[in-house]
Amino acid sequence: MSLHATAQVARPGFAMDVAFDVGDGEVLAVVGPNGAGKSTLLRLLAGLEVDGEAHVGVHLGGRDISSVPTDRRPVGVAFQDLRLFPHLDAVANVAFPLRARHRPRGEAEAAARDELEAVGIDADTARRRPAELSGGEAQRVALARALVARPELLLLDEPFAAVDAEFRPTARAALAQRLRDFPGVTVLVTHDPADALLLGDRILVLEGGSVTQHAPAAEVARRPASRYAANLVGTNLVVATPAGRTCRTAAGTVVVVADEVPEQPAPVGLIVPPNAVALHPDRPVGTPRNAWPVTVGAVELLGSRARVVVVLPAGDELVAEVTLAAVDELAIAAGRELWASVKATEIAVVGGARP
Amino acid sequence: MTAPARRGAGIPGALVAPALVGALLVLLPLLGLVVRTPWRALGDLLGEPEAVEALRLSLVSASAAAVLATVTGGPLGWIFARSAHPGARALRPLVLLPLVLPPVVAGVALLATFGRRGILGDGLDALGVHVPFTTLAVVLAQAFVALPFVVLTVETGVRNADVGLEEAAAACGASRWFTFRHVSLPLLGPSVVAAALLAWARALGEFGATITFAGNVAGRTRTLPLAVVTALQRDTDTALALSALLVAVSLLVLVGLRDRWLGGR
Repeated sequence: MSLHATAQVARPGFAMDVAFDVGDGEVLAVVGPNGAGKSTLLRLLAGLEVDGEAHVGVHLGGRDISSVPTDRRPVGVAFQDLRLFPHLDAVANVAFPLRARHRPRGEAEAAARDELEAVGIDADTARRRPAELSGGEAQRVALARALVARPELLLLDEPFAAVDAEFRPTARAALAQRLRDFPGVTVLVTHDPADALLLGDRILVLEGGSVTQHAPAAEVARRPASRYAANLVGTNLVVATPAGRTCRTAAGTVVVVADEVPEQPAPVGLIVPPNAVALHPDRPVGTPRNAWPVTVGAVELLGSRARVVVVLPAGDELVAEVTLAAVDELAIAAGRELWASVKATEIAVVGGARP
Repeated sequence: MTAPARRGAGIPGALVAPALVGALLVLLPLLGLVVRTPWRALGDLLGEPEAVEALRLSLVSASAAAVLATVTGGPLGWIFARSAHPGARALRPLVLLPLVLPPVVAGVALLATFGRRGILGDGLDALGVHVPFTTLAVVLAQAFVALPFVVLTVETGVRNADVGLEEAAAACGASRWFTFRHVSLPLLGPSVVAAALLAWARALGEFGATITFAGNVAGRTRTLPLAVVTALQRDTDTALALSALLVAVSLLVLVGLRDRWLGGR
């Protein structure tokens, strides 16, 4: 049942060229900035986007379904805006795909109730209409509806967009649980790194219509190949051209790394973990090879830690992660001038990075 | 509920006087009708065989015309809302023409088509069908003038419908026809009911096309509006009583449509 997909789209103002495979039982998380083509990709896979200019190949389990209309594709779709049928209760919504396949009402509704139970919707809630459901309940009903007809390809578009932030971890855990038993291929579109890293077996990073990285989730977390991906997984990616152990960014910042980088004209990516960026009130003493006077940009509090954006003299930016105590001690606020340092040994060099 | 008053969203004083005149233009004649209606004799007047016959004929013909206009105008409205086909775009203003066409002209056009010397007259004659001056002619005349109301109402409903739900249905494996029956049509229900009610009300009040095409034959083509005019020539009280009845029915239709046409949005 594995998925092999290719899509080339060329429209005024939008181009896409992607090709990827997803194995059975595997979850591919597609991430990317707004406008990268994530939703378009999902609509192409579902057959919802009909475009004479697009060359789309969708092979599911070796069968070419590229020209099969949506209603005859073995797909299940959970839409970002859910799109539950407002005039039907939860059971009838979930029974809908079975009724559409001419299964008798009783049988369809029994299967729907089982599917609802599997996503944690109780019998009382199952009798309610979408308007009477909470965001989290409605999201689970939409998931049940996508799964009930045993699709070979499950397409999830921003599955938690309708769920309040505080309930997302629970909803995500429930989805992960449900996906474990799902034998087909899952393609999940999201802009939330937690979804991508926790639900995705592999991550496909889509930027401006092309794939900038397609790798196992752990690999993307460890070695993001683009600045977007780095930001997504919460680290810094500095793109620089190497000369020995000295790398220079396009803006002119010089970064020293621990090991000599083989001579190459192509830029490399320097991954600088935010917790390796130290902030000081004055020029640091000792010998960190990388120290710059910086200006504080945005400050974001995350639990007991803070993420501080600092702007280097050449204009490059780094995110430093520091304790709240340090925020207080150094009087960190936007506009404050400090020194930042990074040990050369903390910087990982990855090849083939994109800005 | 009254909205809180907001400065700058007020009503210029100059609008009040003409607005009052407009309201009086409608209210005064209604008042006149209410005052002059012989309420005590109402039961007797409306109980006369001719009045009962006209009422029955009106209810039957208007209902048949509303059904005809809805089952044909509904699909037209749907197509106009969804189709970019040049044929559909050219057809639309023609189908909506009865909205602005003098009803008498509609009657003449119907005669020129279905009449003995009309373009279909010979063919219908051969089949032994004679349309003019029958109840069928009444229904055709009423459906002719009522159709655009159905087309516009359904078209608006379809334009406002959520296409996303139809996509969702397709993604659920539903064919277009299954989606139409189980998603689109149930959600469009209120629009269709409103369209049918409007068509019914328009058919009920139809006069010009009916009298031109169907004539004024008691028991066969003399609907309520025709009975009013006929009565006016000899017995004003009957005309007033029948008019009061039509006002009552029209008010009922408006109440039925209140969510859509009355009250605020």
